[in-house]
Amino acid sequence: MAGKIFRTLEKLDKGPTGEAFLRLATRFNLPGPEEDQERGSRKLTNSIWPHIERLDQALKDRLGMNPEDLHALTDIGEEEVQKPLTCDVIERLLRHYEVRKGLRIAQETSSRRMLALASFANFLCDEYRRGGDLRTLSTALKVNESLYKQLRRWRWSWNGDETREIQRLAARAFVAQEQLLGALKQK
Amino acid sequence: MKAALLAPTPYSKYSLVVAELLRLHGVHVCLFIVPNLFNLRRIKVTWRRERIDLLRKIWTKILSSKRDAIETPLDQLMESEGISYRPLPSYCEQHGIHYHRVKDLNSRESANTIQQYETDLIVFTGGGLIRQELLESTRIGILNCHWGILPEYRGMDTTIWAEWEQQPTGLSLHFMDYGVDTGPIISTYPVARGPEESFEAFHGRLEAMSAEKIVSTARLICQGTVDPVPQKVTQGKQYYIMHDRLREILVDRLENL
Repeated sequence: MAGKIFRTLEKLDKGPTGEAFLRLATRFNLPGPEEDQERGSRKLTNSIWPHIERLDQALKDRLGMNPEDLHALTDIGEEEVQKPLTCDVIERLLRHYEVRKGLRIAQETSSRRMLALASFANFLCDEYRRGGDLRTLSTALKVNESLYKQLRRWRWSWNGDETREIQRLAARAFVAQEQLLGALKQK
Repeated sequence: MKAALLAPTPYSKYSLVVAELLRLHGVHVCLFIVPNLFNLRRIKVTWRRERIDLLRKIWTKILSSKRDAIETPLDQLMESEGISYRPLPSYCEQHGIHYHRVKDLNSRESANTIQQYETDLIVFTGGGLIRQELLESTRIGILNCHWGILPEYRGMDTTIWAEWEQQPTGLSLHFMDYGVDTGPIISTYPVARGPEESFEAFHGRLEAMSAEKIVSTARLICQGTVDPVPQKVTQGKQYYIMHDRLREILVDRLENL
């Protein structure tokens, strides 16, 4: 009986598997490199482009963060000594953007929040490829999991280009994550 | 010298063992501070951090009738020292130790209680991050045993992180400060996982060793023979809870080397 209850609890809690990530990536119909570039940049409306540009730039500058900060985003709040640790990963990410760079990215809509998360997940996967610090991969997995859960609930956005950009970035992050984990298993 | 203990739950076996060993070795334990187990915010935060591990802990430590059937190194230590398990409130009642339940360990109430009892030393046996007010509430400080070698490996899951990076694993005794495991180091004890030993078994062994080391260090503090060395924050790295999928891969690889 105890074992049965425990197995049920485990099933309830089980996070998305690798297959689930890849299934969602496939559903987003990840375009080829050329099409990807076209969709991902030129066709974006003026309203969203500055956000992405600023986010990309901020990520390239690494938000003025050291590696510890990257991991801290998913574990401890910005002012961890003063405030209770109740905020989730997105809030932490956004708070960090706001505090460090004065960016106003993803406050208004869930789509924008997902955009921030998807960009961040890609950034972390790239960082892991570049530096090989496993802490960064662990953080990427946490961010991707949060993104995955939100994407499952999310259906559409008023802005078609925004939708495509989120899907493109998310699919790229999910595939990258699975490739990196696969490589780690083989290592 | 008077000592207070911080415990994560009223059912913590580890806290009970530390308290009893301190008492047996002549350290005056005057106070136990334990956060309310059914604090909604605490449950939410712990759930976010630990997920399935939280359910596992609740099941094995509180609900399961078989919780005493699996003998861990901590149980063996209890047996050898003649310590029998009972929840902390009844243990405190038996030994005349003041048991204080608080909403949050970091509440003003905790700090006030510690000051009221004029405790010299706090021994940390779990309960989360400690904030400024509590850190400043005692004369000597808060003693913690960290499962990792400081200053190199701070934070969580450091046994797995360190072993993956082919660095020594073990225990570090230190005073707590505002950062995560950044306080002055009293001593470090390298402990390696055995060739056939699983991480679960290794962690069980560390738990028992941790109880012994924290007690022996508290005694040395009482005798005034410790010389804590401040850490250079730039010297080590901070590690966070490893994602479950990554942990699964690393543990599998390390256990099957």
